[in-house]
Amino acid sequence: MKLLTESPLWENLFHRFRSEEESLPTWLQSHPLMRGLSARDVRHFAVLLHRRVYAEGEIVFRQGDIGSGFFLIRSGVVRLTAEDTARGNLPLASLTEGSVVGEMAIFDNSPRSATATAEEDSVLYGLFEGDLDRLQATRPTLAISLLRNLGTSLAIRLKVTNERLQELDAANSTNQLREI
Amino acid sequence: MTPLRSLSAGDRFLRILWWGIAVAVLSAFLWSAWILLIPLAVGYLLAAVLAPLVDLLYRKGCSRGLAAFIVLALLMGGIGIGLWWAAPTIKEQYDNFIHNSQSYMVEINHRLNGFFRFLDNLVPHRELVKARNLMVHKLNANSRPFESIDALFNIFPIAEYILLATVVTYFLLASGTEIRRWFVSLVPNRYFEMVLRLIHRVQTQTSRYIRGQMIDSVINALLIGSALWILKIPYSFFIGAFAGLANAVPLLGPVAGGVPAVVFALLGTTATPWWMVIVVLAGIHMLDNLVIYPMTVGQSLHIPPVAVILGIAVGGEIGGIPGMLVVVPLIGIIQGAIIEFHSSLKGYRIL
Repeated sequence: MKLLTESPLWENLFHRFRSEEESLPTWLQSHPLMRGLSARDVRHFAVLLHRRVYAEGEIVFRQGDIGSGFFLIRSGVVRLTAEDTARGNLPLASLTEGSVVGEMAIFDNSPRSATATAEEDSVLYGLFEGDLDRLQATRPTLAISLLRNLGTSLAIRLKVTNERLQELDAANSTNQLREI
Repeated sequence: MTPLRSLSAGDRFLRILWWGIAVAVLSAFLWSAWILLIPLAVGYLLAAVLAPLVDLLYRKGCSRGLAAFIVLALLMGGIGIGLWWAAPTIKEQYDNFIHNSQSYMVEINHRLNGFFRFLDNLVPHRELVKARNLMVHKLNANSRPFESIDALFNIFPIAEYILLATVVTYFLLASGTEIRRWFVSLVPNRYFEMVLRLIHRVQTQTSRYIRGQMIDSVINALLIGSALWILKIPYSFFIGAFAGLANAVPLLGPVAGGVPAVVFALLGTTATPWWMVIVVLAGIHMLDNLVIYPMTVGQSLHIPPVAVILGIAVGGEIGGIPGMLVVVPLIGIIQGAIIEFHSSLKGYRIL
């Protein structure tokens, strides 16, 4: 054990991992998903998260796979793309630190609607249906707050999508008028 | 669903693994003599039953370790107090039973003779003599056949098993989440979500089944024990407990659980006619089928009869009567795991 801690390689490795794990609750505290939650609740939430490290180009999840949870991007960039038979691979968005990926699946367990790929080496924290059930059984108020915040996040995205659709619709109408 | 991509080496490996597991499960039932399976399985089953209580204490602010300790201490204490309270009655009934076992056997022999005399007119005489000699030989092979009850408990180093099962239960209750997280952290990114989902689904389904089955068994034990006590059948305490336990074994369990009561009524140990015992037991069984079982176990898992019969045979071979009782919930767990594994592989387009 002493040898391990004296070795700069292991020390750096463990120190890096430990400091990141230890700082997770602090990082989460300011996250919109944790709005209205106490520091104790955030610590409970952090314990349930699964830390995953993705190399550049590695797929986080594939379109069409069954989804059962969401990821929080701790560091790195995740690209979302949707496969379309007519137009090929459509880029949807590039998400950075603090973004939530794949949160729809936790509500309906539906197949993933897009493919998420790490654009660079990334660290993600995931929460899945089993963890949410566990949270509901042990900290029900925390689970409700979390779901409410996730709902708010989805509502904001829906609003943005609606605005984009309206802009597209308006642009199409203008183009059609010009053609006439 | 149309596959979006060709199968990778890992996917092919999982496909082979799926078929491997299917063959292994079948082989395991035919081959295994792994005696340690029983305490480990009991530990797992107990943890599944007690988990909601530990969750409840954890919600109130206890650490998981302390909550698991409190729940196990209460359980052990409860069993201890129950045994302390019931020990004189149990001992009296047990001694009485052992003392009378000889006369019961004589009476059974006598009744069998009468039965064979009655059959003389129906079945060819030669076949009847053969069957009768075989049965008498079996009955006389052991001068005190009910010593097998002692043997049942002597086969297994029971204290060691209880200790092992308790330790397994404690660790699963206190650190189940950490153990699961550690295990899942070893899974490659590609299969991580699938494995997590699989573990969760299997755990949820089987825990619900085990809890329901256990509650159903306790209710049945109480109902049958009370009914037999009212009917003045001797050893109602034991027969009720045995019938409750046997109830966990589908198909054969309810019949096997009722046989001792009917036999005692037939032997004339009570004024209650044998047919009344059958009617009462059938009524309780019907109540269980129509009301209790749907409320406790529901439709969480339906185990095919063939699997039950094979499982009971193999469970009995490995661990005697305890093996038979533990094997059915285990079949439920394995069945649930296979169904979920299959659905996950389909969902992730590996199969």
